[in-house]
Amino acid sequence: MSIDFAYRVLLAVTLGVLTLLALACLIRCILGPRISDRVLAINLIGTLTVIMVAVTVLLLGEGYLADIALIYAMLSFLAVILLSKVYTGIYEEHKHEESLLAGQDGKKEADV
Amino acid sequence: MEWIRFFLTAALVLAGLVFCCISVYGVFRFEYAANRMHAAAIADTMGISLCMIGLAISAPDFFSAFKILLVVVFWWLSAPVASHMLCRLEIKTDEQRDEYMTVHMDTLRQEREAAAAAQEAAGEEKEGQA
Repeated sequence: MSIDFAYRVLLAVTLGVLTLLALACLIRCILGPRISDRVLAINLIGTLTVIMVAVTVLLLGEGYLADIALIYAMLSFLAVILLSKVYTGIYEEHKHEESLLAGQDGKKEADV
Repeated sequence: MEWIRFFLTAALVLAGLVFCCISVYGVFRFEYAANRMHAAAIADTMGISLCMIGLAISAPDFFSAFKILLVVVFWWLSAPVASHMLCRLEIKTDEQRDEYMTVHMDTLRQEREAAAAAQEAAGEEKEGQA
């Protein structure tokens, strides 16, 4: 058995397992009852994808794919930060509107 | 020499895969987002670092190995920040949090009781001196 074949088998098996894990994370993302579960699953998919891109560096023997892994890591981090910020803001906005509406109702009742 | 390198890579990458599997299993097993975060952190630390070190050992050239290790360093710096933001989202938006996050409330109650007891003791001491 040549060493190239051994490497290819190892990396192909690794890629296959990582793909299955990412699909499982996607299912969790769809099932997840709360928005934080979904963002968490997206974060995990990002981790697995970075490992996958690093595996393809060895599989194809191309050095520039390591840059893509680095950029993907940054994008994944940015996505999680942005989604958390946006959903926290949306929740607080809804709450603020609700409190405003409740305040109006209270005032009307007081006037009557 | 080549085979030693291959077996080192295989051992580290497969160990990292096992950690990733444990992490995904934990994400399905736990019930609440804060608990799931605990399981997801396994892949963020052990999983990615073992896989990347294994891959860097047999990278095609020095600079790709260096970049692959740089990904690990970046991930170690960014994952705690992402987890922090995610936890803040969960804490702020979950209105039924008190029903299952009882540890925090219990600790808070105990701290308040201890502070009240300390204040009472201090007051009694002052009265005794007067």
